[in-house]
Amino acid sequence: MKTRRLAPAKSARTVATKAKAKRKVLRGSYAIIGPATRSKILDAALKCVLKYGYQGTTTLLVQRMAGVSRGSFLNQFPTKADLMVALSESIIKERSQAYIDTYRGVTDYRRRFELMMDIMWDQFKRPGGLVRLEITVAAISDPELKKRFEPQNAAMDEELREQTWLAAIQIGISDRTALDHVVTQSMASLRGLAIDLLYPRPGCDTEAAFVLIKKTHMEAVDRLVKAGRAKRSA
Amino acid sequence: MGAGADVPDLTKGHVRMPAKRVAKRKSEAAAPAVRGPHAERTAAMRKRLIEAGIECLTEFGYGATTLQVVTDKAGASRGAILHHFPNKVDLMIAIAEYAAGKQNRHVARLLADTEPGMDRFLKLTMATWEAMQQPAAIALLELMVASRSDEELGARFPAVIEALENQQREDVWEVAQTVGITDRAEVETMSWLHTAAMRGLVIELMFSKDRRKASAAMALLRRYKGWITGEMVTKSF
Repeated sequence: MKTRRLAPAKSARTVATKAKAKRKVLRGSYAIIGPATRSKILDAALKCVLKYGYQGTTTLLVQRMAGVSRGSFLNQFPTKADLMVALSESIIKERSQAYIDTYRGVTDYRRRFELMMDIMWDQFKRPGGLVRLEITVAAISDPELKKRFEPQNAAMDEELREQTWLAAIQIGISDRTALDHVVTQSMASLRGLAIDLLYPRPGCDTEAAFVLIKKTHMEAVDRLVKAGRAKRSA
Repeated sequence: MGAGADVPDLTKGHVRMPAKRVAKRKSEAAAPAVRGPHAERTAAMRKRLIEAGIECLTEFGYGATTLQVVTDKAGASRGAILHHFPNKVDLMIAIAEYAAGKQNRHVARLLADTEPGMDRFLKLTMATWEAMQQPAAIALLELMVASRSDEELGARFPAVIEALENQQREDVWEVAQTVGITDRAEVETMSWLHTAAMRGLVIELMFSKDRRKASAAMALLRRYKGWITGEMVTKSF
């Protein structure tokens, strides 16, 4: 759509009016219109945060990039925090889908631990991953955003740990606490490394660092397997 | 925070005063000897503003840290802050330089009584971890992310952070050589990864406030370091 480019206020309004005129003909039921506007806005929000960062993103800017009216925008997202939480939620959904798609048919559960690292890293490199990282850092110092972002983040974290544990049982790991620490450590490493992606600079070989993270992650997993085996035979 | 303690006699008068104008008049009325030479007072004010800026960054984030907010936090006058920092980015760059120096000094202080060699090489990680949890390091993280969306900051900030990281790399390499590591690229990748891991943990810590979880993860990182170091040292022989 042409409206993607950041348009001055006047033409944005014209576009919105035009869109409204068109909608009169096409207009379906509210249940159809609502979600379409919503995904249009979320698309625009993703692009906006990616391009201008969290601080540079305003609801007005997103509204114009999405080419929707102020009214329908505010109907969906009354505040910037609402928008950002919804954006983060949609990114998480996409990520869970990536796990499901990749794990499907993989019965070698040790291999799943490798895949987990690949998926996580791949997700961080995608626009969605970088945007979620921006939102994460913003939530640290924005109480309103934090209050709502935190439970969502905790739920995602819990889900990941649960999935990991289910795979861990299959390969004979018995120490869940130790496994949790490995997951915490690996996730933190990837998240921290992803900040280097947001902010690339010379002398920083993120891919080499990723290979090392993955290697130590697998080494830790193998040790847990061995410990589990020793415990069982004891 | 203990940072203000370095210059107590210079700032004491200001800190105690509720209103800045009263504070100024009173300190003028006080014996001139207490005020100290002009250069010193200027440096003290600059430092006070920077420290206040760091507090604001960790508390409110980059976006909400305006010159006005920092001025209020420091209990300084508008004139004073504008004299030192004509705009927000000037202050932010000064903060970055100050924070980078502080972080390096913090690590150096923690390592001071450790003998060079393997002990020191392994302890480097924990020392950096301690330094990275300080407000100064968190302010640096805020600035790093903000520099992506703020054009002027984005133009000036990289030089500061790169200088800090180059210094860290040099330090790591210097210690690494003493334990017999010869592959510089490899040790740099490892050290890069550690910085990243700690950055990730700091972010996590700011949400969960779960220190136990974070220290368990750090213990793991230390073990990982042991493995990789072992490999690197054996490879060198």
